Amino acid sequence: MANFTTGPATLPDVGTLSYNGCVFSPLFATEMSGKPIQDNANRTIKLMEYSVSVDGYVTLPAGATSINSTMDSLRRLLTARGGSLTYQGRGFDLVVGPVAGGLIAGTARDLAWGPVPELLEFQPLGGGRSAKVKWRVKTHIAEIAGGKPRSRKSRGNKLVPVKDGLLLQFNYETLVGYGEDGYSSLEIRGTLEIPLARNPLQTTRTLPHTADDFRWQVEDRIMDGIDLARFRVAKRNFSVSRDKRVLEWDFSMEERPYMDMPPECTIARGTYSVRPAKVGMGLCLWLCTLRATYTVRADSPRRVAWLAFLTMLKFRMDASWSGFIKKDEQNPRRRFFVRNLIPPPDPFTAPVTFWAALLRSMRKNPSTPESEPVKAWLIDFSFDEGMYLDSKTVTFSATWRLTTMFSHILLASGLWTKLPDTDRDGNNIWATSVRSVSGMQSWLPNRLDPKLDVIVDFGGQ
Amino acid sequence: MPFLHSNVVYGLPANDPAQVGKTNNDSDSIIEQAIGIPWSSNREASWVYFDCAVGVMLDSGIVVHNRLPQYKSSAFDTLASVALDDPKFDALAGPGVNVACRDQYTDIIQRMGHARYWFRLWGQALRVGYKIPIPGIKTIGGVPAIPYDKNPQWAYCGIAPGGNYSGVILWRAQWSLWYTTAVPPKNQTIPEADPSAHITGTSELPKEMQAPYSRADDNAKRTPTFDVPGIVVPK
Repeated sequence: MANFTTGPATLPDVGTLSYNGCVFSPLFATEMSGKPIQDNANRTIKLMEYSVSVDGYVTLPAGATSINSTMDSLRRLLTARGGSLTYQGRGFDLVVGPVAGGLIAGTARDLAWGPVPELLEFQPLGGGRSAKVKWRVKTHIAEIAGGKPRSRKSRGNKLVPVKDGLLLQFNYETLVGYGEDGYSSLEIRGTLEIPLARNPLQTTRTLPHTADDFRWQVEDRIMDGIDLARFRVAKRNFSVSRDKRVLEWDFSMEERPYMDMPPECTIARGTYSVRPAKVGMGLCLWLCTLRATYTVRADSPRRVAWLAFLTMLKFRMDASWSGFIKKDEQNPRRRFFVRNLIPPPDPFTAPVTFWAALLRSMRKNPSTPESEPVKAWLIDFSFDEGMYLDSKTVTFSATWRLTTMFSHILLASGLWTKLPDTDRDGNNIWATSVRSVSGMQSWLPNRLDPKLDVIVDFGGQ
Repeated sequence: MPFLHSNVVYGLPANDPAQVGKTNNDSDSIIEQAIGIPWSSNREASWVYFDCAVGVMLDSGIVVHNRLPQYKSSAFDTLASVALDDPKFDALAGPGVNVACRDQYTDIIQRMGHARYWFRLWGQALRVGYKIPIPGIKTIGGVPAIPYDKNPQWAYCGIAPGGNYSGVILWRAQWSLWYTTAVPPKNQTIPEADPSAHITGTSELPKEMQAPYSRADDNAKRTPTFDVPGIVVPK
């Protein structure tokens, strides 16, 4: 195709103008127009969009009686996207795309699947023996040198594909909210854009990579800064554009309440209800009901939910030691403080190991004096296992009877007591247990496979 | 499906037995071995309920001798104040029970003996873990109580139906014991106690109920100077 021209001309050739193998003769006048394209943050020029407008004449090849064959080739070549564009010798050299099958030194790669033909006008002259043709193509290039590619080989226990990445843009917007309860919510929305072009040839229909391959940059640059000891990630969306160059992402975080969720649980909700027992009126016999619903990480053992409930159940029931039933104990000077003296557990490792260790340390609640007997016993236990589509959750419920006078019900019921939320080294246990699934992915990476995406042309591959 | 198989992302074969996101690691160890759920190891707190009462019956020794009718009439006394099928039944505002008597008698009252007292102690209780002792009365009205066997005494203490709290027995008891006295009761003392409510009839009433004590939450940094002397802090 490199030999194809728009027809003979007697004028001297000045410079070179060609696109996708079509060489324009000196009978074409050109006009170059450049438009800086801002990034989404309107802070920088992410690329220059150049339009090359060509206006001239197609002439009759020697020995031909019509320009039909010339126009056939011209139409085919000049309407194809992603061809190599050479514009030289006019004081504004612009060479874009692979030339002669490869990208040579000094040429630029289009950054957005271009060059992009935008206009082809045809005006016949001389009974089909020549024509006036207007054509315009747009290309996107960077006028500044790219920075150093950023790469990442591994992170924690996650395997991250190594992908050097020059980004076209990376920016985000934030929203800080305070609910009527005073708790914070954070939202971050941003854009990651990468350059992509047909590579190495105009006829190449496959993708070397997609913007999704650079999802880790969102985690590196943004999500690593989320303090999971205070916030939990409530929503994450990663949207890849159809041209696979742009990754729009947004996620939101909610400030965590007073009580931490159990390790390995992405959601845990529940209630603790204390009320007077119905049998035997009065304010010394109580019923305490602990009910909680757990959603455990899909890649963690199901029984983590049970172990979390069992631990809390035992912990709250053990608090009943501080109830009193003898009159002489009502002396306020004998008021007991139920201090939470369960030792901080070892740093979080595997969930089952963690719970086993914590339960062992609670076998005898260290905050319970040997001389103080427990004043509670279990009278009801039930669980609801979500089935099929609801099998993400399981609910446990237990009710125990507690004997204590009104004055000690807050203490003996264990109100506001909670299991240790930091390990021996001061790290937040829940945050440690879910950090690997709170960033750019959960337990499933759900990565786009560039090999499964092809550019489909009419009659193409 | 344009997404990579999750196993492949992690360098594992797609058909690997360990599936990313599904397979978990669990040693299947018996974690709960020797982890106990507390039950009421405190005997005093083991009562579910204790419902006991002392009923008193009195024969005052008085006999009433009835006279013949003092009113000449075929009408009879009735407690009814209106006929059930009275068409104006719903419009009436009667006196309720009709206790007005048509007769004009005056019977003869005669003291035939001294007053006699009977006492019935009856009740039921439910208790977890420990058998229920059947209660009795030693003194009443300030004098010794003596069993009165014209009414049979009965009592039982057995396992309540289904009363198995994972190996802890739920005991249930009922009793009915009769007493009398050989000498006149001297005062108003009747034994009252409810071990499940942890109170007796002689308890001194408080001026007001003590408000529940609270504690610092587990995020609080306690200020030692606020500790009240005498507070027992478990170590």
